[in-house]
Amino acid sequence: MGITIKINNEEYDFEIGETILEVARRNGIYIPTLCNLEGTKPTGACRICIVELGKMSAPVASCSTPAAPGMDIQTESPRIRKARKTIIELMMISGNHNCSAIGNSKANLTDFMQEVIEYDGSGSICTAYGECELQSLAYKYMVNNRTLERIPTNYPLENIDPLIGRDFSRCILCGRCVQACTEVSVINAISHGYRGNVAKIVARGDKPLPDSECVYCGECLQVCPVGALYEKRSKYDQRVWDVTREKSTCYYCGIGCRIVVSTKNNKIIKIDGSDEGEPNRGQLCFKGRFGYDFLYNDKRLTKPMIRSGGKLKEASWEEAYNIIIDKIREISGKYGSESIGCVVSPKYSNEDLFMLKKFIEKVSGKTNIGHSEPYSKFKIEYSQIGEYEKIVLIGTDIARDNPVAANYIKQANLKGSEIIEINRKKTDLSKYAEIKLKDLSEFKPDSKINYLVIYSPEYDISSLEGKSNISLNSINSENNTAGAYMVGIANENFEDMKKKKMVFSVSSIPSNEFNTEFLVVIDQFGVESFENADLILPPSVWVENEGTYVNSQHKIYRMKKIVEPPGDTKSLRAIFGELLNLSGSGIKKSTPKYIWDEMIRKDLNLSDDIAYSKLKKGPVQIVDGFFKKISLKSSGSKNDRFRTHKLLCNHCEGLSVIAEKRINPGE
Amino acid sequence: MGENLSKELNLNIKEFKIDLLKNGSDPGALIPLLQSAQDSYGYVPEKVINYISEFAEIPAAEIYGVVTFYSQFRLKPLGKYIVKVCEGTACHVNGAKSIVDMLLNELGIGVGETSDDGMFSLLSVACLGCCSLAPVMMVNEETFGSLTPDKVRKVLKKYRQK
Repeated sequence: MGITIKINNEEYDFEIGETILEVARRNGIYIPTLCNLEGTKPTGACRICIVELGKMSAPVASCSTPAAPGMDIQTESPRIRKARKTIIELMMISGNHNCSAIGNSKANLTDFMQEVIEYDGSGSICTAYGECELQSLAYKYMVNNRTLERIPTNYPLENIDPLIGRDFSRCILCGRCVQACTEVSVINAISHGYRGNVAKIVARGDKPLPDSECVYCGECLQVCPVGALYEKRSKYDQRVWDVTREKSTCYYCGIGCRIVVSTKNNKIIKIDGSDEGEPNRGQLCFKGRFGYDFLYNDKRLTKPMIRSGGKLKEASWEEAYNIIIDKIREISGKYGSESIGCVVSPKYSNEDLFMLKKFIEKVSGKTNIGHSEPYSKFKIEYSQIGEYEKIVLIGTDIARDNPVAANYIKQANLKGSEIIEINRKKTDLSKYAEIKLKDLSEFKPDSKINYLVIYSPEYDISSLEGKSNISLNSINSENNTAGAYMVGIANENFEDMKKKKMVFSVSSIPSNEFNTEFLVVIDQFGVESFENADLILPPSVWVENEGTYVNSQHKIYRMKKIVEPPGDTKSLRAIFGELLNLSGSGIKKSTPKYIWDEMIRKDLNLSDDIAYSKLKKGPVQIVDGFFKKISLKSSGSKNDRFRTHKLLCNHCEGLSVIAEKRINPGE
Repeated sequence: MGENLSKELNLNIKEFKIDLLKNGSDPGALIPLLQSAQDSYGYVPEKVINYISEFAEIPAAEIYGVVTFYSQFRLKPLGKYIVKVCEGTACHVNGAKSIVDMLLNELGIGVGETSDDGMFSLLSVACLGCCSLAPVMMVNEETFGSLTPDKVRKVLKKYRQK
């Protein structure tokens, strides 16, 4: 037996460096915490985790006190319970915690609520009600908050920001948001300001967040234990009893962050990072967290549109299908079937993309379909980034392109990993880089040191290939790029495609770049972005459909349908399943399960191990050799990387300013 | 950047710049740097916070936190006349509250603030060393004792007319 401490009269082993709280948690002993944020340095700010070290000693904060041999700790002694009660009471009376009638005996709930109305203009119960960690502790310790007089708030509500609301009346100054900002996303936009009873969490110059370095990752929102920080767009929609939560995957880049989608009345009202582990360990970026309400934008198309007499008019699916079939016949007759082509953005599920490809193959006689995404793979787990002493960033502005990966890099940098940046331009990570080089030729790796290289997929890194001490990794800009490659849709030279006579443009490049006789656009914002489309179909997307996706690590995830698609929208697999049947292919079913098990897996010779039903249990890694069996043309056209990200964010409320600043334009 | 900053602030930056170079990017040097800035400019201008942040690689929000934590630092220049009103024990029992209230009312600023016209700064202190004259206040180097709210008004009027 090693060194031990006693907690509540039982002996427990511990390792040097472990805190009392860590030993207790590891052994299933409950100690309440508020300021403690896993993965960051303990601050001991809130004092709620105090424990007794013996009658002669003052209570100590278990989160920041290392366990030492011979300690005899009590976690719930009468003295500790009494002290915790006081701490909670002091927090409760120092703000608009209107989850309970508060104040001294003279005050009543009505007066208090009136004050809250004057402060936040709503008079509603706190937005965190039912999920608030302070509230639940107040119940647990049966805190009577009528004995002390309430202290009014010093600082007004910060309501100017479109995304993050800051209610200082409910802030308990635990500092979790500061920890998240300095140690998780490592942006350092906020800090502790002022002192004593006027202390406040401040940004640069105590200005509102839009005037600070804030990049709207929203980590602070996610970690706030009370109602001080909240998503403004759905402030009072977040009632825990009204909301349904489902896990899913982010719609933006190739990291494929796991998310928790909160919905109410078939509408997404909030997205949080899922703490289930890889790849993101709870973290998200501004796109993943706030970029969801494009689904509800007024400009979203919900009916097929057909151009007649120069104008786009609403039409039925049947009419649209008939025109497509007629046009295919006409154009193949005139120019040959290979004059039909398709460009697609790999933002759709494997099943969607597969059916699209099948259809294009059927009507053009060739695989006249491509996207603009280079092939890439991220070979390690993101959490392993910190295991490398040298992190080399080549040509990538990763803090903008794949912000969550940048979080891991900055966290590693804080713990001592060195960043070597090879880039002609200044990026957001330049200020963290210990070594800055202009060109790859200047980089002279030491054969005895292990390097983690993360490169922009359009960068030529062939000079580094084949070295056992260099791990080469890159991340896609689109969530299902790897899936597109897997089902056989590769990177194509768009210049050839633009010359085709009939093109299906699926959420891809703008239509004015085409020189077609007939342009079919399939995009949710088809009307505004594709001015000269001849026919537009409204797709249902993302969480509106069930399906499988492959992230940049080449892990297959199965995603649930979470909300009903609006209006007459249809999934790509349904659209092209119907079109295939109309053009004479007998497609029996176009359910995701059928397409995956009976079509994709048969087509690609994929084993039963990744049967649709088995994917339900969790992600499955696709073996390395697999992608080599299918053609991997990577011509590297880079005309629209991240264009879709910008388009989607621009259709979300309050996100366009930050998208303009934070999303790099396609080069 | 130093040159531009000095131009923009129209102040002597020389001394502060030397300190900045001497202390380099050592995060522990933040307080001496801020003191040096305050010595050079009379307060800690926001631009200087941004400047130190970039130079010493300390987040601006953190510097702001430090500046607001210590009462020795000011974020605004002091007024032409510094009014120090005593709220120590003797003054307190002799009605310092009515004196403070009158000052707040007359100057239209809070304790620790400077009026928009740059004339007055109001500070609260714990003792001015002349308790026999309580309640008492100082305006720059001049002391006024046995104050009444009415007397406060007259004193301020005198300074306004100077």
